[in-house]
Amino acid sequence: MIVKNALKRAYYALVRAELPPGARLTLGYIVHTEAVWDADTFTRLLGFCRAYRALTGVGAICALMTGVNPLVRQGMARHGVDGAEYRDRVGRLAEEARLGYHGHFWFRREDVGRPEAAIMWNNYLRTAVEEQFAADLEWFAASGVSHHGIYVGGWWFVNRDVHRLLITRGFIADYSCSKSPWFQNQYYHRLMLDHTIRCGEPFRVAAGDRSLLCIQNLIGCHQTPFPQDFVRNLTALMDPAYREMVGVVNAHDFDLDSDHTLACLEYLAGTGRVTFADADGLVREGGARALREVPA
Amino acid sequence: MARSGAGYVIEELDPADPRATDEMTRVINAAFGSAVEWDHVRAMADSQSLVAPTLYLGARCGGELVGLTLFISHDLLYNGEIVSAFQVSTACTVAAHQNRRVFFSICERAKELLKARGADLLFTFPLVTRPIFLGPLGFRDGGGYVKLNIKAVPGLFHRCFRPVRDDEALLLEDVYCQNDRQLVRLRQQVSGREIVVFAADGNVVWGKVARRTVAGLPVRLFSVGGLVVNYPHRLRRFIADLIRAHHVQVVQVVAHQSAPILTLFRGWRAAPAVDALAVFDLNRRTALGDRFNFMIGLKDDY
Repeated sequence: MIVKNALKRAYYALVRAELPPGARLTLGYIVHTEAVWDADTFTRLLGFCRAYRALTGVGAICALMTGVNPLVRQGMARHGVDGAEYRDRVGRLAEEARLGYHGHFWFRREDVGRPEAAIMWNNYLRTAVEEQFAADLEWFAASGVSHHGIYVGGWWFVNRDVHRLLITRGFIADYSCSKSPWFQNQYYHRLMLDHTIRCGEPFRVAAGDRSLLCIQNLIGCHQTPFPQDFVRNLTALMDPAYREMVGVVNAHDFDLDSDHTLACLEYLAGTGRVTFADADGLVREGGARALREVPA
Repeated sequence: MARSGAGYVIEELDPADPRATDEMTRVINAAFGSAVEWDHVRAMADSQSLVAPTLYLGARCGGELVGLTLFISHDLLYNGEIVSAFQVSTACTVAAHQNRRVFFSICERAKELLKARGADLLFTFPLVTRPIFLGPLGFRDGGGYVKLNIKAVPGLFHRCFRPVRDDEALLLEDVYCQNDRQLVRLRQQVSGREIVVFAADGNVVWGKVARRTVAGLPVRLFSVGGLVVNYPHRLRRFIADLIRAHHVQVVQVVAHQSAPILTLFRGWRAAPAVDALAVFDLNRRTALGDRFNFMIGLKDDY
């Protein structure tokens, strides 16, 4: 790592990493919120959300695994956090960020921890997703917590059935799609290829007379001391013909590198070509730029 | 119960009944010359299907159990739905009653029972009995298996992987998939910790490490029972990580010839020593061009 960083330092001293000419970015931040049952993770997340708002002037999105998700239940049990305490933490988080829904599914609830039973696009059982989705939404309703119609898939898992569930239940935006190979899912990958969706291009998926806005997760953010890495990685994904991008960057709550992330965002703010947007701003800007509607 | 033409009574047996399990164990051991205990039989047959239990069907002559076949319940996956499929397994008849169509009678009765219960299909990997399955029992030839040995040798390792283009996606749609969640548990019931699961970056593989001798040298080989590829462009690195994690020199992949994951690899060869698939439709219509993302871990003798 020391050698790698030294090489990068030398590289970036010689090569200036800049967004391509004309590139502009409307950028949000989404945290896959999986571990607020851990007090340290929760405290760090609150701190990050406050610092993010102070830096950008807008709030981040925290997409939440619910209090009935089996992985969360495991974490709660290990850390002695009951349902009321979990809801209380969620409530405090809602004061600092816009909440959303983050779904992780298994073939059966008792399968948590078994990777061969984790539901993804090539290991999939529809009824299991429907059951757990319904239980999660019931938790939101019973807890008085709003997901604000925001969704991002755990393990980036989304497919046609999930889209139809989201659309049927009135969700507004999904942040599970990405052109980055690190955050790709095969369903969205094929959908975006079939419809030539470019990096940073919002679009809609439709079922019946309703649709869902899809805003891309651009790349991850950010765990190196070099903000130039962000610019370099994003530039590599960009389509030269599509320069005015809308998207989010992400981290999990448990691996959030607050210092490097904020430094990177500060660097981006300094370029004068990045506008930070909260959930409403992303939907507004994304909705205006979503020129394509594809069937779910 | 049903009476077969030759005077045998075909009867469903209860795996929770100690008398029945004693009888079944006796027949298995008499037919195969083995000394297995019921716990082992139950472990390899109790698939904990979400849909239907394994069927134990026997043939009696004069009240004595003389033949047995297990129909192991598998929850195959097809476009996110369960396809209820029963694997014909542990077919045995005591010597005095062989060549009297006992096995045939049991299978015909199984077809009736399972179809009435809503099962979708039967499948098996017959060797000696293949002519019976493809002949009088009316199974369809489902095609053979292929094999690839991925060697952890510089220069050879990379050749086993086909580069995945940026414009490719691997989505198992309209493909019959083995249920690795079910299979791992089933195989662990028999083989315990021998069955290992390795997961990284969204891909999952399970199997067992075997020791072989190649050119007089000891080799550790990972026999892949199942492989779930969600990130095809990370597959090569994933297998490399598997090799490092389990200190193996070879990763052996044996898959059905129609398996879509074959497209991710290079250098497949026919595996004639692996018994080919045979399929019988009950309540579901399969067709010649259907694809089966099956690997060796689905076989009951894995």
